[in-house]
Amino acid sequence: MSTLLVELEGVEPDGGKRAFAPGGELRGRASWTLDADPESVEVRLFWRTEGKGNPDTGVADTVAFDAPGRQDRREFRLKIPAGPYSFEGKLITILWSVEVVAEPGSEGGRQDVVVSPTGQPVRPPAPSPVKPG
Amino acid sequence: MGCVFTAMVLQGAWRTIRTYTWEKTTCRMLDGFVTSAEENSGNYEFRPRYSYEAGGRSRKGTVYKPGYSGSEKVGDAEALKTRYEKGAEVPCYVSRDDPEKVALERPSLWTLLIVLFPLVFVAVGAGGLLMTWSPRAKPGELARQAISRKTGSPLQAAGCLAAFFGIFLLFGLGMSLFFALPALKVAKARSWREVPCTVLESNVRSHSGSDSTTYSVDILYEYEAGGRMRRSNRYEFLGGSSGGSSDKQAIVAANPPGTRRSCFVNPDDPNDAVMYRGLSKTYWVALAPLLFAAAGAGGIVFAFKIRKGKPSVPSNAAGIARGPVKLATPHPVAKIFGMLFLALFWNGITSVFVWKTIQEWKSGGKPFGLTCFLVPFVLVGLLLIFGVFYSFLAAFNPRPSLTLSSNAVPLGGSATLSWTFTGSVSRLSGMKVFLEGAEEARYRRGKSSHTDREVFAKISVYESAGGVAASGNAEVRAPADTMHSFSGGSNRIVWTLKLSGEIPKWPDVTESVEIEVTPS
Repeated sequence: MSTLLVELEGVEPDGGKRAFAPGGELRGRASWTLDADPESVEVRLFWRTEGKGNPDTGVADTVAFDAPGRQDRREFRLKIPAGPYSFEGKLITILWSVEVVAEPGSEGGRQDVVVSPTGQPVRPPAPSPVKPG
Repeated sequence: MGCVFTAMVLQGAWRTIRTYTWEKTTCRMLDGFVTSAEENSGNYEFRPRYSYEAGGRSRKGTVYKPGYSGSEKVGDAEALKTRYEKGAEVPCYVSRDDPEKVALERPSLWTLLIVLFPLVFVAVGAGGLLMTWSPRAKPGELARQAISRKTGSPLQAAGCLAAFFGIFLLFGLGMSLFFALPALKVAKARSWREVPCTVLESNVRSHSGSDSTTYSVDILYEYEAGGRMRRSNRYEFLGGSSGGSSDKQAIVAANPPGTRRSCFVNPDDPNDAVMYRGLSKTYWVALAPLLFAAAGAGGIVFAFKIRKGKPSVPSNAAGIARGPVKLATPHPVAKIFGMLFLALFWNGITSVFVWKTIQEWKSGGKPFGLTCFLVPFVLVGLLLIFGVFYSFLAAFNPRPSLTLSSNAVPLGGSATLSWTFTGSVSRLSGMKVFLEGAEEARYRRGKSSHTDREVFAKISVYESAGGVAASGNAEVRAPADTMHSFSGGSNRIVWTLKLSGEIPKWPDVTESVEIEVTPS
């Protein structure tokens, strides 16, 4: 059975996800032990939606490793875009993750993160009457 | 079921294919005549008699084509009679295994395409079984699977949506052909030769379906063309049958047996004749499939329009800001035509069923179930008609022109909204402008797509104290602690500027336009 792991730099809050500022940089290490020699291994920073709607996905940045071995460990840097922010709404949740993926095969190792200026996902307040701007 | 149907169709196909192994020989026509087909089908059949040599002796045959059961149009059978005239020597086909099996023609190989129809059922069934029996990933395996590549691209999604609307377009165009081809013949028949004809038989033919009966005009007449008397039963170019027998009864009553009148004959084919070469009112039904086709074409354009720029990765305002920008609001005339199209599309389809129901009530039937079923559809149709009138009245309202100092408002920042009214602004008793933030999630339920909307912010931009000035401006502020605009394909965060102006006893002025709120 293959094993793929992602470790990210920075302090991990207790029981929470690592948070990163939009527009910044994300550093970490990917390590893997595979059943067969891989054709390619890459790390992706991507967002995805969960909730009532059909799921959407968008890959923000990718790093492909040169000549990956069956058992290997590599460092990477990923650029975080200005958005979308991590979001927890009534219908839509936007989640960010860093994933290491080996080809061929469909297995991956993933670490969820928060992308937001405050370090917390944006949570809109409960619907309120019209308030002044 | 699909397999059973396929087996039955394949059996028939095999019989067709086998006729292509038959030996070609020469048959001598003894005689042939046109008569009503058996089993009360109402068809006219060509029955030939011919002789041929096979197995070392002379034999007689009576089969025109294996599986032939005649035609609704007597002209088709008459054309065969002309083609296989008495004394003619024609090619025919004899079975190598049984010389008694003979035919003047073999079934077309195109009929083999019918095997594709039950194969669709087989494919759907087999696909369903494969999905049911395919091994599912265990929870642990699922967690280890890569998910950053699971969903399809926006282009694929737009393609799927376009394919869905493409079915509407093809169905609409296909159905329109049933009317377009006869209409073309109507145009061609303007140059056909007018000849005297005599009505031999005159009836309204009924066609019993599984849930209703349809009717068609069946007038058999004879005329002289190409040096001999010929028969035809084509009343008009538009074939088929439809509900309601009264109009057909009126035509039959006006043409009883023995009536002498004018008919029209194709100068290139004396068996091709028609009694009425004009456009009947049934051609109006052609509007329904055209509406289908228009909806399909509109849907395809819409599918690729919404694909543009999706999913959009938001940039901060510094990267994209420009201004001032004029905010595009739909023109009142576009609103009227949009509502008119919706009303025509909805009521066009509904009216077909309403008309059919009325015909059933008129002919003594009591379709209570269908009537109750149609009531909500008719009410929606009336609401849409009301909408057309409402948007027509609203077209006379004063119209605001909106300009924003920047095309992008950053979270925690602001932009200036300016407005100028054209028209009689004194009719407005008050005006409000607010900025609304909402989540929009599109999802599939069954075969249809739905979009849910949840408003999470409503921020006042401007509210008039009394009357409304012809022009003005106000600050649009986006709070720092909220969510920026986002478009993922099926999921969106949208910010909309909404303006409403009150006019007593008249449709209000309402405008709404999406604006871009960017990350800070």
